[in-house]
Amino acid sequence: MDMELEQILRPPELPMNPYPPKVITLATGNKMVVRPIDRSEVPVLLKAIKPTIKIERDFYDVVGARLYAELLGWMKHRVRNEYCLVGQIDGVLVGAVNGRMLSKKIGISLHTLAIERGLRIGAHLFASKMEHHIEHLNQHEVWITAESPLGFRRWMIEYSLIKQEGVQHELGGAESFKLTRELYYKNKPRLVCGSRPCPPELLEHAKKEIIIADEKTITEQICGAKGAWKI
Amino acid sequence: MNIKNKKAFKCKECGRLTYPRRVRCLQCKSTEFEEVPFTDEGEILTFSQLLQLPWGIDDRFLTFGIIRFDNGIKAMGRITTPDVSVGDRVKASWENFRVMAGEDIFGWVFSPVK
Amino acid sequence: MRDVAILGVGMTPFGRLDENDLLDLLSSASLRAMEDAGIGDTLIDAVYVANMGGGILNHQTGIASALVDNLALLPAAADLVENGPASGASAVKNGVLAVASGYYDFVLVVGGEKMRDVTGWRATDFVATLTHPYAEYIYGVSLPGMAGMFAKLYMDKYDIKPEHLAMVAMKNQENGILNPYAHIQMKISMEGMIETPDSIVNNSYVAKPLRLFDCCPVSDGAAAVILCPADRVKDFGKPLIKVAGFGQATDTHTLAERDDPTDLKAVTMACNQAYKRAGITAKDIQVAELHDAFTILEIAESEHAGLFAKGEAKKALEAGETKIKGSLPINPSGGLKARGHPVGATGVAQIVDLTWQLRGEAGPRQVENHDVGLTVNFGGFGNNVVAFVLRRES
Ligand SMILES: CC(C)(COP(=O)(O)OP(=O)(O)OC[C@H]1O[C@@H](n2cnc3c(N)ncnc32)[C@H](O)[C@@H]1OP(=O)(O)O)[C@@H](O)C(=O)NCCC(=O)NCCS
Ligand SMILES: [Zn+2]
Repeated sequence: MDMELEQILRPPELPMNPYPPKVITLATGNKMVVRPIDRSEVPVLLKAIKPTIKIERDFYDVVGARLYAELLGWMKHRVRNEYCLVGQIDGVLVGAVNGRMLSKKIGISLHTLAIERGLRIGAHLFASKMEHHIEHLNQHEVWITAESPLGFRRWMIEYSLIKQEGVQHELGGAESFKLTRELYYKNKPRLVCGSRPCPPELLEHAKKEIIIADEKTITEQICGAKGAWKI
Repeated sequence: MNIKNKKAFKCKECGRLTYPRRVRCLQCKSTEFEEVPFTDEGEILTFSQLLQLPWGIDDRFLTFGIIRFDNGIKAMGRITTPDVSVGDRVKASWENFRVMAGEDIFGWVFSPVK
Repeated sequence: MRDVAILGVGMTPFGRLDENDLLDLLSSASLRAMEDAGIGDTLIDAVYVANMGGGILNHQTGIASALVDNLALLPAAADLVENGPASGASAVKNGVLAVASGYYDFVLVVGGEKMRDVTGWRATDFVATLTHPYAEYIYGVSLPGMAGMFAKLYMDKYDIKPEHLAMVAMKNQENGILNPYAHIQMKISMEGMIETPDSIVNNSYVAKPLRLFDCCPVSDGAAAVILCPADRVKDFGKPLIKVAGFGQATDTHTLAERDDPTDLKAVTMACNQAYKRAGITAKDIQVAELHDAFTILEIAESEHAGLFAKGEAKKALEAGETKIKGSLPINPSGGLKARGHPVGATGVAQIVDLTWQLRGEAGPRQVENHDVGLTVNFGGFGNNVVAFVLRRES
């Protein structure tokens, strides 16, 4: 690689505080580790996201395709100030969220993808993302948009987000909303969970390997394998 | 919708109160009713804070309850705060609290009496 | 009046069935029941379809006529029965009366609902249309909201703790894992639902004091039964499962007009009628499928049905008596909590599940004593309740 040219292409990055890993006990009693990943872990993640690109249910295709592209861009140093948090149970990937810093003060929420359904994993990971922007990256506000009806209901109403007239979220034309520090702290007791420090053995296990299911299993987890004429 | 909703009745035969209007008295089957005014205040019989709202309502949450007015009429309505208990006294007001399909909707809104 | 038996049963899996429309669901359940009965379709005289939301959710009316056409059962008589969440048992009741009277011999009853065509909050609004339009619905109240108001009073009165509600959810979701037809197949823990602070999101409040896992999910699905005169069952070589009795009772439309809102009078009356017809008392019931649309309802219905004295159901729960291996299993199918609640299908599905139990065909969720069982299908918020007693005979 022509590193000289590469240096010109790579965007300059703002310093970003790390996200301190935490553990959340789910309804099943399972422990989900929420932790940031680094660029070297992106390829495994891409493998898990790929099957979702074909899933039309709940706009997984839109979210999957865009998340895939964003992570790829981040890995190859084409996106500035991005981060990605993952949720893992016993090492197994159950969801991922990403975002980035638009500026020192303004954060951008990109995508939330839950691979296991019915355990509120999306809600937990989205809350972790808000926590990261406000508490760890010390930002003033986070800009959010929704690409699916579920997302709209969950995020906009659940957090009473503020609609921003005339502001363009970088994901495109949909309406843009924002979470302020004040709103975050108001909603925090109801929406942000988890405990720290994450027990070392759980964290080590999670870091050792991101285990991902095969394509068929991932698709079934998201879509269900049920039909009126089956069984 | 508003007019039907606002009136409570008393059976002319047996005195049983009913709200909303019905054609025959549940107790004595009479069809003769007279209108009875609501009182200004009442007491909470039960309530619930609803956090998953149906289509058409974009609030984060709403609180509902069943109130017994001081003259005995019982009615459901919205309560202005979830911080209430069964037995609390509330003030009742008839308000336009919602628009449905372009129509102003009136109904009971109860607020705690300090 | 003739004795009526359940000749065949069948159901679709419950859940979110994106690939199937309402007619598909009803057709699949019907064919399964016909196949189970081993009955040629020329024998079917009449079809009763239970469905609540075809018009509102799926923009389709006249569903019974569409179904007999799709199933090639023409010119069988076909009717639609809409009785809110009790549509299923109401339709079965109509089928039973038709056979008992001697007018028809073979009747297909099928209940189904396609709720997941719309988003959850539209489904919530759809179910809420059964509340009083001027005195309840306009306020934005939902069925979970009605149940929340009821739960508040019932829990205070009988000192029922959130842990008791969670025990119902755990039991039923555990049973659901054993039921291949169940919508929810996930084991949940007291720790994750109540004890950990993380439960505030895991098990968020829906209508206080009720939380997510106190509610049934919103499901697609269908269930069907074939009814016939009891003396014809032997022609088909099937076990004799008799409709020993049924009962149905109504209560005030608004919750506010009930003298005692904690008294589910219609449940008590419907069950007592059913027991009387069957010549039994509540003590004879060995297994029950109750309408646990909300966990509090399993507790309250079991008491109103006389299975336990008022305030005693929580002790049975604590002791595990209502588990599959307990002395009085309740909702071994997983109930509405885990099997799911496609509103029009539920009442029929309860009878399908109970039939499997009485026949001894319930596989890993089979209960030990299975001669007499009860179903309770709870419509509105308790304003229209249908109960059935089924009995295995030889
Ligand atoms: C409780 C409730 C509000 C939850 O809705 P929600 O958070 O929007 O749920 P989602 O649609 O996002 O469900 C996502 C997953 O969570 C799980 N889930 C949903 N509701 C559940 C419940 N009540 N219990 C257990 N798991 C549930 C399912 O696995 C679901 O996956 P699916 O899409 O394959 O079915 C909803 O289930 C509800 O309204 N229930 C009451 C229905 C009712 O009133 N029926 C009539 C009574 S008479
Ligand atoms: Zn009278």
